[in-house]
Amino acid sequence: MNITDFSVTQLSSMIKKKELSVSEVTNAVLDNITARDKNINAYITVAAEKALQRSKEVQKLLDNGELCDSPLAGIPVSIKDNICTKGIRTTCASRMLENFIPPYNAHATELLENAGAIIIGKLNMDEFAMGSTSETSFFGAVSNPWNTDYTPGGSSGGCAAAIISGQALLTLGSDTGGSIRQPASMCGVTGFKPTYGTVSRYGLIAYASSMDQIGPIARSAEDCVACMKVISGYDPKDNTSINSTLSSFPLNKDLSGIKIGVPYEYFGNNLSGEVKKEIYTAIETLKTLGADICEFSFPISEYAIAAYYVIASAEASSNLARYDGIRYGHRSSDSVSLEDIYIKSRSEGFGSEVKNRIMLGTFALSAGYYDEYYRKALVARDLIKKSFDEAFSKYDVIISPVSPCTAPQKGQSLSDPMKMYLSDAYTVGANLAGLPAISLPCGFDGNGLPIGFQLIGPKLQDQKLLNIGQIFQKHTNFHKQVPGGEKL
Amino acid sequence: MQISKETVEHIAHLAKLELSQEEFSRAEQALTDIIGHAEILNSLSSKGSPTVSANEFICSRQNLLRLDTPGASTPKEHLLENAASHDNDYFIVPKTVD
Amino acid sequence: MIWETVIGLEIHAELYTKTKIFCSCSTSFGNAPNTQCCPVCTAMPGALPTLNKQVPELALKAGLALGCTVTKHTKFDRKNYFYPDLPKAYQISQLYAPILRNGHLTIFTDNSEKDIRISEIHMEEDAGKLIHDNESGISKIDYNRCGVPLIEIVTAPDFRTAAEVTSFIEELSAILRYTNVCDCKMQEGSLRVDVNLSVRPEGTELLGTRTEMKNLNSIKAISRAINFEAERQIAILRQGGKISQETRRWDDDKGISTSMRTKENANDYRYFPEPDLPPIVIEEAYLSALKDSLPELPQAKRQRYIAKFGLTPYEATMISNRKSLAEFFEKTLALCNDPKEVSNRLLGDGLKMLNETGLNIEDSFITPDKLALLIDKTNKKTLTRQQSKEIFELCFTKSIDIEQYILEKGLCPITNTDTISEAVKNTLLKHPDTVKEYLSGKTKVFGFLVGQTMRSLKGSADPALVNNILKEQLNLLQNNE
Repeated sequence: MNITDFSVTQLSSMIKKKELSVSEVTNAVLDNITARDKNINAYITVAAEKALQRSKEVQKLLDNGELCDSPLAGIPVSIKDNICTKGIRTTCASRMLENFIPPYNAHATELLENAGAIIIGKLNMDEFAMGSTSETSFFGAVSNPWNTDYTPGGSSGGCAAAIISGQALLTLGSDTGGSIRQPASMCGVTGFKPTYGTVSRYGLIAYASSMDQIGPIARSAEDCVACMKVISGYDPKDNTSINSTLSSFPLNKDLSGIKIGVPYEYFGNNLSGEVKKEIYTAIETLKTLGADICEFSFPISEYAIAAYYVIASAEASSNLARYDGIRYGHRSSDSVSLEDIYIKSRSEGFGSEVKNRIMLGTFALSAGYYDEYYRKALVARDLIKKSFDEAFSKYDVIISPVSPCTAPQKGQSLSDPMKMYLSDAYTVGANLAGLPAISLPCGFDGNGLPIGFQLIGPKLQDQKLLNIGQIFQKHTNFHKQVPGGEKL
Repeated sequence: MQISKETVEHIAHLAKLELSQEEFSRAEQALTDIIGHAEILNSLSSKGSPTVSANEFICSRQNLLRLDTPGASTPKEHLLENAASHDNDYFIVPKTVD
Repeated sequence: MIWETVIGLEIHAELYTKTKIFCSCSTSFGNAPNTQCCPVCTAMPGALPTLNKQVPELALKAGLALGCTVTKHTKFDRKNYFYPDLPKAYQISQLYAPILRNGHLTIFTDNSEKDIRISEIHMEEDAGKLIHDNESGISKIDYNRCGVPLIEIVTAPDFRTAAEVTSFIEELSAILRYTNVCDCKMQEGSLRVDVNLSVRPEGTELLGTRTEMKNLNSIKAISRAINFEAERQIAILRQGGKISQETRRWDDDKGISTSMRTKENANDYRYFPEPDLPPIVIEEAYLSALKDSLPELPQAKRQRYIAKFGLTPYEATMISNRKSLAEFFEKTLALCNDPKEVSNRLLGDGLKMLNETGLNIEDSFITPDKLALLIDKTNKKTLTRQQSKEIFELCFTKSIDIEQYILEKGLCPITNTDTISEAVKNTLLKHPDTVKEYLSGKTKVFGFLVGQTMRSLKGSADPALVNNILKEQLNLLQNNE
């Protein structure tokens, strides 16, 4: 068995028992990157030297008896390139930040480093986290390791692809409308979006302030737990962060007593037959594990996509206004006047999808349209939140698909943006309502592409979701499948 | 609602963006589509709804206040080093027109 | 036709805090460029704002002192526009729920009182500073000031004259200083006043088109600008022209306002509620405590000085306008019950010394008990008025033990007749010719002899005694002849 076939939890223990050195583990990951990333393009920056240097330091700390309580001591972690890493280029997969080296860490990065994790490198993504296929990156599209003619999903496509191809053991992604859960489901890995506020957004390059969250994409729910233990908690630098630190929690033996709500409307004609079949199978599995399965009516709020895109774009249009070529970032060499600097730098620096969303947001906030679109979107958001609250008064968790179909082929989605936006219907609800949600692998389609399902929980019930995920994965093997047919 | 050329131009101007011809027509289409979809919000009324921030319903924080004690500032070099144009003291831009 | 000028003010006051509004960078003035900055106030990717506790507290103090209603649930909004001194390309300000509304301030001009309505006070952040270099065609940006907390005080268009505006600014400054909200130093930019001015035919209700004037760096400039702009607008309207609604820049050297190039389409600020900051909920108990902590405000003090101490309105205003001076005044009175004398000393030599040294009274070495002592000694005649004046002035810059000083310098007005006799005798011996002149009838040289005697006694002899003893001795000499 290769080092990179072990789980984070197993490796953490082996490192502490000195069965493996930190450098051995780091080198194993770096070797895989060298061997495999050419065809996948999961990484924008690999910080090999820094990682090896840090490995030595962490080894020393471990040898001195420190870091014994850290679940991630000596564990290599790769970070989506919209999360700031001090001294390591952070680009958001955009020409705008092509050479930006932050002089500060994101809070989550800082916590990882303090816990002895080894930062391996920065992962590819859709530009500024706007997209569902990781094809809008300035540094080239990411390929799905299951079939490189297909996309890995997005916007955290690099994270999911790196995990499934053994090029990362643990990754930090970000989720604003499904960007952790959807690529996780399209690559056959596990992705977790925490309750809004659980992980500090300081240093996460903002897309939509009221919905962005950092979360893990890993091989299993168990590995996600290890990550969440380190990165969650109140940060005084982020006034939207809350204290909901995950402490160790009791792992129930099975799911008896858990009520799982299955919304009728989520399994209608929009959902591909193959995806439906695998998710129904997963529901059966949950049933045999003791869960109470209840179908109920939960109209996918017809407002969800509209509310999401109006609010997210509005916030994005404001959050991305600071990219003007003055203090950092791309400055056009074609600029003479100040106006040139603004317009040319921004126009050269941003790709089309980003520009379109900035314009959508600007429109929604502009004089004459603010009440019609933005304010109404907030009303819709409140309604969606309330309907989740009502559902959770009856059920412990809600199950749903992640995406209506499996990974799209490269080049297919960008020509039909509206279709791409509508495919977010299952995931945006959790972002609008600030709820935790996990994506778990549960099967494959006829082409061998992965299928995942989603569990959404009430606010602050992150432990419960991760718990259910772990129990499901104890009794299934989907999360152990890797491309090439080898079972771990 | 069809988003007119003038509207797209106006918005691009507000957002300090310049679009190529191809980008412009794609933007026109994309905006028309998504705004068209967003018309669904029309059935909602925002009358009398308080002006709240987008996350006020999901984020129960209030009164988060920081003590007025000075902390360390970032060394000037670190702030300037990512800038395209600076003179080691100031960020530099072409002269603004007041 | 008689024209009426209608003026409203937008005043930005820098709050007297140690750190910026949304980050812990220092707010101290005058440091090397870009040395008081961090990722938050330079808008680096991923940075987030955190609210300084002192900011709403000081805003509330100002608002309470101005009789405002408090918005119990107050929040921030983003005001979006592009300008190099605004790194986020939005200013975090307040539009929908400003922290304070509907206050007022009474001003006194000539012999009349007028109530000026304050529409609102809200919190916001300051921008950076641009330094223009015309030669090289560049602008340099310093973000030290970016993020310094401001309150914006907006008045209703209740002013009709420059004098009213001046009076208002002085009253407001006194209040803001009293409550330690702002040090109101216009020359340092901690108080900035923008004037919105329009004119209309007297007696009409409709407001004319207004212009906004900026770059008014002193009270005098404000006065001049108001008068200039009113005349300019009237002249245009008289000729049948129209006023353009625009922002104008006041040039105090040239004494004119000029149109600033209008920021094209700049007015769509696309305000929306700030998602990065939670609301501030203001509890009644906190507000009560804050109200109780307010000091006696300048206007109340002024009334009290006039009624209780018999000071003139001018004297009362001059003292009460500066909190530290008022405190000094009251403390001195507690030791020496002579309000007129204390007032004269403070407003005469006191202000002179403060202006000369540039010190605030609390930073100088003069103390209330020293002043009380000097006044007491003058009244008891153990010091001459001149002597006590000199010591008073010295006390501003040096820590002086007054009793010690008097001893060392031998300042006790000499009343010892033997000492004086001796001095007179010596003077007469020194100036035999002058004595001869006096004895021959030239009595006006008496003054010279008095002067010489006083000099030899270092000016501290009781002049009446010197006169008498000199006369005696001269008479003796006369009789001997």
